[in-house]
Amino acid sequence: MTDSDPLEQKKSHYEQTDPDVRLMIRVRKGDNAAFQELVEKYQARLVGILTHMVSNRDLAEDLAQDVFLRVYRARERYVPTAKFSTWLFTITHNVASNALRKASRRREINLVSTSSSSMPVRPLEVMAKEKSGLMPTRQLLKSEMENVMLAAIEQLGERQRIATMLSKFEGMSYLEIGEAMGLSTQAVKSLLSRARSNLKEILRPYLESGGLVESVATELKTDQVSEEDK
Amino acid sequence: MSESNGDRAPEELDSELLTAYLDGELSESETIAVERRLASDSGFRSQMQDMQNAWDMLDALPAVKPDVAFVRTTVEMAIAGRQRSGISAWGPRIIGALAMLGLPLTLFAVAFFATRESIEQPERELLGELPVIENYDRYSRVFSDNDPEQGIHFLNSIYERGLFSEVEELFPVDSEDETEEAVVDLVATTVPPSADMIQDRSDRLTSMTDQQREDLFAKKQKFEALPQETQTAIRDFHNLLSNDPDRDRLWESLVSYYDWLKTLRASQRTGLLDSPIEKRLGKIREITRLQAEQAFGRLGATKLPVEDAEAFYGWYDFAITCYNPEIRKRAGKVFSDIRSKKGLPILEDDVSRVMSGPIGQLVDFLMRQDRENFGQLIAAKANETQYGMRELENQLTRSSLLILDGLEVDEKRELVLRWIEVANKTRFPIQTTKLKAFYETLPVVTRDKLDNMHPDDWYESLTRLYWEAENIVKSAEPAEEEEFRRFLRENGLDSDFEIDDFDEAPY
Repeated sequence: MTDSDPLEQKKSHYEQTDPDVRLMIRVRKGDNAAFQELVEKYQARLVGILTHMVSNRDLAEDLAQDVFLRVYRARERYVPTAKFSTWLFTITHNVASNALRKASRRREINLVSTSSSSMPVRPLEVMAKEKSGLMPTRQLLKSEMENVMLAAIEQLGERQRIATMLSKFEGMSYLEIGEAMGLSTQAVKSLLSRARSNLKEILRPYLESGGLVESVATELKTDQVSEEDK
Repeated sequence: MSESNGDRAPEELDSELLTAYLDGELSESETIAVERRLASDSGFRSQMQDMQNAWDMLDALPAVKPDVAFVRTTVEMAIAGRQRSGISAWGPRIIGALAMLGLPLTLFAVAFFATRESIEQPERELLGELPVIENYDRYSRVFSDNDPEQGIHFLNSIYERGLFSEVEELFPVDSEDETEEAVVDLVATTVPPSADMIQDRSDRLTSMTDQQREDLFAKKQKFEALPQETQTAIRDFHNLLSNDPDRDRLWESLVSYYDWLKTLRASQRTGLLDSPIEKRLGKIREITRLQAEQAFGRLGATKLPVEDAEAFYGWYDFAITCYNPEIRKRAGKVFSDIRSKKGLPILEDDVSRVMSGPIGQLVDFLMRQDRENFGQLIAAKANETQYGMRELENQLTRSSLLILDGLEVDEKRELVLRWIEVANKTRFPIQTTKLKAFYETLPVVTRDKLDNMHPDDWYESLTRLYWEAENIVKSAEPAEEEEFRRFLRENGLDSDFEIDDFDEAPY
C-alpha cells in the first residue's frame, strides 16, 4: 500500500476528519467505552429518525438497538470508507426497510402505507379544516403543530421520508444520502424534490391560512416569517 | 443540472432546481442563475417560499428521547452477544476444517446435529422458563434496584388504590386475551414443572406462528443478555407473584399497568420508571386523571374544548355530589311514575331500593327517562345556587364561552346536557367487557382496520363506533333500556317490567 492508493487515502482522510470514525476504530480494537460513546451520541437521532420511519416509538427503539448491535458485530470488518454517520444511516435504512416490509406482511403494527386504509384516524385535511374553519387566525398550540407535522410526514412514502429525515435533521449531502440509501445523487435530488413538493401540497391549508407558519415562528422563536408569508 | 432532462414537465424541473438550490447543492453558476430568475419571476419565487416554509415546518416534529436505560442495555447486549459468539465461533472453524479434509458425510452429520441442536435445545430451555421469558418485560417494569419485593408491594398498591379505574377503557384489550392462560401458567420456577405442564407449554409453542416463535426467541435472547443479578431478580419476582395468595389480582394489576404504560409518551414513561414507588403511584394518579379528562374532551358529538374539560369535569362532579339527594329523590319519583303508568303497584320498599342505587346508574336512568328535568336539576335550577350554570360559565375559558354565547337558553341547556352525557361516559365509563363484546360483533374488515391502529387511535375509533352503534340502536329502538333493565335485574325488580312495556312506553 502506498500513499497514492485511493482506498488508503480515503481511510486516512476520514480518520483525520471524522472523530466518530476514530471512535469506531477504537471499538474495532476492543474498546467498549468508545462503543458506549457512539451509542450515547447517536441514540436520540437514530430513535428519532426510526420513529418517523415506522411510526411506532417502541419499535423504533428496538430497531435502533438492532442497528447498534449490527455496528458492534461488524466492528472487526470496519473500514472507514465514508463518514461514520453515513455508514450508520446505511445500516439504519436497511434495518428500517426490512422492518417495514416485515410489518406490512404481518399487519400487526400501525405503520404508514400509501393506502387510505391506514391513514391516521383524523386525516390532515380534517385537522386543517377544523383548525382553519373554526379559528382561522388563531395560532396553533405546540402539541397541535406536532400532530399536524406527524400526520404530514406519515403521508410521505418510505424513501421520501428517510431522505427527508437525513437531509433535514442530519444535514447530509445528496452524496451521503445516496451512499446511505444506495441511490445516485440524481435519484436523491429527485426524491427530495418530490418530498418537498408533497410536503408543500400536504401542508397547503396551513401555508395558506398562515396559522402554522405563525405558530412555528412564535413557538420556535424563529422570527423569520415575513409579512408576505402571513 | 448536467443530467438529461428528457421530456420531464417544467414544474418538475423547477421543483428539482429549487430543491437543489435550497439544499445548497448547486454550483456557483447554477446558484447565480436561479437567483436571477427568483428576482424576476414572482411565480418561481412564491413556489420557492412555499417549499421552504413547508420544509421549515418540519422543525415542529416532536423530539424523541430514548429510554434512559437504552445506552446501558444496548452496550450490555452487544457485549453479551460477543461472549456468546466467542463460544460458538468454534462451530464454523470445525466445519471449515472438515470441509477442507473433504469429508462431506461428516459435514452432513455435523450440519444435521447442529441444526437439530439449534432448534431443539433452545426450545427445551424455553419450556422450562416459558412464563418468565414471556412476561419478563412486564416484570421488569414494576420494580427497580433488583428488588422483587418492591414490585409486589407496587402491584398491591395499584390494586388497593384502584389506580386505573378511570382510564381502564383507554387500554388496548390485547393483553386481556392472554390473561387467563398466563395466570394458569403462573407456576414458580422453583417447582419442577409437571409432565402435563411441559406438554401444555410445548403445545403452546407448536401452535405459534413462525413469527411468534421468532419473537419469543428474540425475547429469550434479550432476557439472557440482561445482567445475571437482573435475571435472578426477575425470576424471584415471578416466584413471589406465583406463590402469592392474591396472585390473580396482582396479575390483573400487572397487566393493567403494563398496558397503561403503552398509552404514555416516552418521556412520561421514562420519568415513571425511574421514580421511587410512592412517587410513581402519585404520578400514575396524576396522569390517569389527566388522561380521563382528555378522553372526556375528545368524546361526544359536540366537543367541549379540551382546555375546559377539567373545569367542566370538576363542576359536574361537584354538582352530582351536591345534588345527590335530589337525584335520588327524582329517580324514585320517575320510577314510581313509570309503574303507575303501567298500572303496577308502587311498593315503598322498591322505591327506596331504587333511590339507594349506585349514583352512576341513577344518573344514567334519569338521563334516559327524564332528561329534561335532570337538565333542569343540574343546570337550570342550579342558577339559584352558587354551583349552578353561572358558576360553570365563570370557570370556562373563552373558547367554550364563545360556543355558549351564540346559543338560545334552550340550546345552551341542551348543549350542557350533551356535555353531561359525555361526562357520564367518562365518569361512568363503558365496561371493558361491553367494548370487547362489541368489538367481536364488528366485521373482519373493520377489526383489521382497527387492529392496524396505534392503541390510542384504536380506542378512540372503537369507542366512536360503539357510541355510534348505540345511538343508532337507541333511535331505532328507543325503549331498549339495557342499562336500566340490568339495574332493575340487579335490584330484583325486573319481573315488574316486561320488555314490551318499555317498547310501548312513551318516554
